[in-house]
Amino acid sequence: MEQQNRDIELTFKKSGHFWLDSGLIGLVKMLEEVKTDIQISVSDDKLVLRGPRDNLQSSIKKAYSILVSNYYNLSTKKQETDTSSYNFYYDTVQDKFIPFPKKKAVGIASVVYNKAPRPSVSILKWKEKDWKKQKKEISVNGKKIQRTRPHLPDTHRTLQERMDDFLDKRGLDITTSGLLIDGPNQIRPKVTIKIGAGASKGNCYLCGEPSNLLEDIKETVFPLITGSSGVLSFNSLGGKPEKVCWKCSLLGKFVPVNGFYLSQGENLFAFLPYSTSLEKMVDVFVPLHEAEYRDPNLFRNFDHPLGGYFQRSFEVTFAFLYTLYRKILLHQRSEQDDENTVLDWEEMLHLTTSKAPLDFFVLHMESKGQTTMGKMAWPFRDSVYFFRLMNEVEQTGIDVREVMRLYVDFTQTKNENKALTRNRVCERILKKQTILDLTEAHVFRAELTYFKPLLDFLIIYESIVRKEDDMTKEEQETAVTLGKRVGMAVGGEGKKGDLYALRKTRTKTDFLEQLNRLQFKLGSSFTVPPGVYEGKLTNENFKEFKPFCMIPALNSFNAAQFKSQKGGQS
Amino acid sequence: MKNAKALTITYLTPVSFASLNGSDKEAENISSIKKLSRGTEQFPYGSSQWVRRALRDQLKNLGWTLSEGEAAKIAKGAATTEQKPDKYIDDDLFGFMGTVKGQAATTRTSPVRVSPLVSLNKYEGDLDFGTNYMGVKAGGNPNIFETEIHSGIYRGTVLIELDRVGCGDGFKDKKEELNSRERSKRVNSLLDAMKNLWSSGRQTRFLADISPKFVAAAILTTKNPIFLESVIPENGGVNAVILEEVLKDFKDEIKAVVFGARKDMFSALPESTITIGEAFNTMKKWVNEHYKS
Repeated sequence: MEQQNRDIELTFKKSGHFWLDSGLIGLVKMLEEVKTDIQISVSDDKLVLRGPRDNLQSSIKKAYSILVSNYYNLSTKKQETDTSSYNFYYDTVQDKFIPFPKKKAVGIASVVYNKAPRPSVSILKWKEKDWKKQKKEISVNGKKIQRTRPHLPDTHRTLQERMDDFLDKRGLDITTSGLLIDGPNQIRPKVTIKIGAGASKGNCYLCGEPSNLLEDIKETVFPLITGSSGVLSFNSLGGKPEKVCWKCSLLGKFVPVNGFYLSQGENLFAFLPYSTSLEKMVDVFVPLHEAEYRDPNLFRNFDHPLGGYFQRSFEVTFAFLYTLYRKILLHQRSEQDDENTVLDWEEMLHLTTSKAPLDFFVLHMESKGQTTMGKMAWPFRDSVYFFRLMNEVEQTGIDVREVMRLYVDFTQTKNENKALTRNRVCERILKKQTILDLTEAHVFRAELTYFKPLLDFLIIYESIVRKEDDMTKEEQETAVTLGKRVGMAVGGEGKKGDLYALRKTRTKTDFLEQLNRLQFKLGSSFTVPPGVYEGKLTNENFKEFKPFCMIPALNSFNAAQFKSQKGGQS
Repeated sequence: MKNAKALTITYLTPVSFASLNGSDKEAENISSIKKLSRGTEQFPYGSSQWVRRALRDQLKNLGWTLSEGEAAKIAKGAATTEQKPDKYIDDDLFGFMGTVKGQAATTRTSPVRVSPLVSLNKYEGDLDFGTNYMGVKAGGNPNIFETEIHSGIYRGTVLIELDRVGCGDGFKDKKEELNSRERSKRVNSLLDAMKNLWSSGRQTRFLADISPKFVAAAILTTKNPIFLESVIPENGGVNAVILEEVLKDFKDEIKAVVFGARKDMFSALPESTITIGEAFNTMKKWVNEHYKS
């Protein structure tokens, strides 16, 4: 007995894998919520727990229960308020029936474990095998409705009348295969915690450590691995699938604590903060989770201020990072809060670079009926660039929300298709690539009549991401000036077709010829900036020069048209 | 041809208007094609599983009985084939993996290695626009739909491990292994399938000829797809200098080489280029000689 109560050390090493290390953070945070006398120490590469074996065992068990009730076994506001859809159980101590709302796993937890709730204590099967057919008509709020009313087995026959009375009064239906006893249904993935002694059964496939308890590898450990039958089907070794230790299996369940998520229809986007240092991951947990938001419907756990139609991987990633920028680095807590516009540099350095760099692993999963398909796992490693970009853009007075709205194509009738271009633009921004071609195609296709914020954003953004061998700033300015002049002149004297004719040119020579035609047509209202003929437009830069010209051209054309229409009306 | 181990064939196929290999839907009412990204550019491709399906279908068209579609023996497992390489050409050439719960999986790694058919020209964003009026008479609205289309030159490679055809994994014993005549018959049929390569997907509106218009083939003592990255279209022709360099670099491993082309389609070709038909006949001769020796 004395030996059993002697302090032991239980070590969870940082694996260097974003999923398991997120689980490690989850375990640390849940243990912090347990009132325990075990010692918890975190270093760069491991978590060490010290204490008597029984205490360690019970602390982890308690931490797991907190995890389950906070992340897996949840009810939406609707499920809580709609008392007619409640389930119920019989409490043998209090000798009464107790109703409870339906439960489900949401967000990242639903990717780990998405099974029907199971009895938390025990269940007493109904007397009839075809219990679903046992119907009874009852009256709820004056309406007659059919409800399932099977019978209790003979051992519990005395409860029947009270149970029926309880159900009829509340209008509840029976959806379980028996009477739940002494506890509600709950969603709780199975785990085994086996601390200490026991001979090694082999090495874990994920962490490589010897373990006294090995389990089958499946999606509850790491969802991109696939389920147990999938592991067998796609097992490249063609033999028996590898096993994982109980510690890795346990950590897999704690991942939802560390992550942010947004679900959109069948799609789930998850964002996992990650660093090479475990200490850093612990340090940034609290500041990062200040951006967390409790959605009553549990569709997401962060609330971005960028408006609607955010439904694809890269635009959702953009929205997530922008939320962090706004809520943590500008300390703007609500959508209306625009008082603090100064970037908190100290917080940014603490968050991103101090001690170790901070990455974000982006996961996109799509539900395909009974299975979930991993569509993207992408590490975003440029958070400093992103935050600085947002700061630079907003310092010039550009409203990022407005820019994002302007990238929505409202000419598309289906909501699904409205933000296709925006997703591509966000992908390019996150990867520091040009958005010139996409923006040019978008402004012409989406029939935008006003898009100055988008043009301003484009010019600032391109000057930041362009490399030395791309167009020079002077060449870019010449193109923009030419575009503005073309737009104003055509908007006043010409037709929109003149813009399209210029846009359709494929070579520098065609482009210059078209400019000449415009000069003849529009006369003195259109003058070509001298830079065009002085070498600022070349065969090499034509491909970029043209969109830099055409976007402001359309913008100025719209402005001129608006002005002339207004003049005509007055 | 005695010590040959592999036959590698890299081919080019210019496609003027096609929507070759469908991808997962990105937007409602738009049928996408598979593409890979390089920087901000995207290049369409037909996946290797799509090429292999096309080859299987052509073998069937050539009169072979295929071994396909046996229901999985494990719950929720992937469908597999009969797994009888002695009896079925596709089990022999394309391999298989069968799993039964509690037993080690039965596998045969495909001796036919296939690269995706990748376009060397970028995707320009072209869409074919259509309106479906079929539901209008029934009181519905016309349905607009679009399909991604592309025009360009595609390049692909097949490497056949000659020493593994008709023997090895999946054959129960030596007795079950095939004789030389049967092996050369199977490989020659695969060459016929390649010469007539055609994928049945998306062909009702976008009929496309993807059979090779230029081939660079070699029979080797090693297993190396030597032309895979070295057949490069240039100014309407094929860069012959690079191909000469490849031949020089691998002269010790190459037993024989052939270049074949639909000649007038290319402005420049390697000097020794013959027609596509002659090139495939040459390859068949190599195969026959190899298995005879």
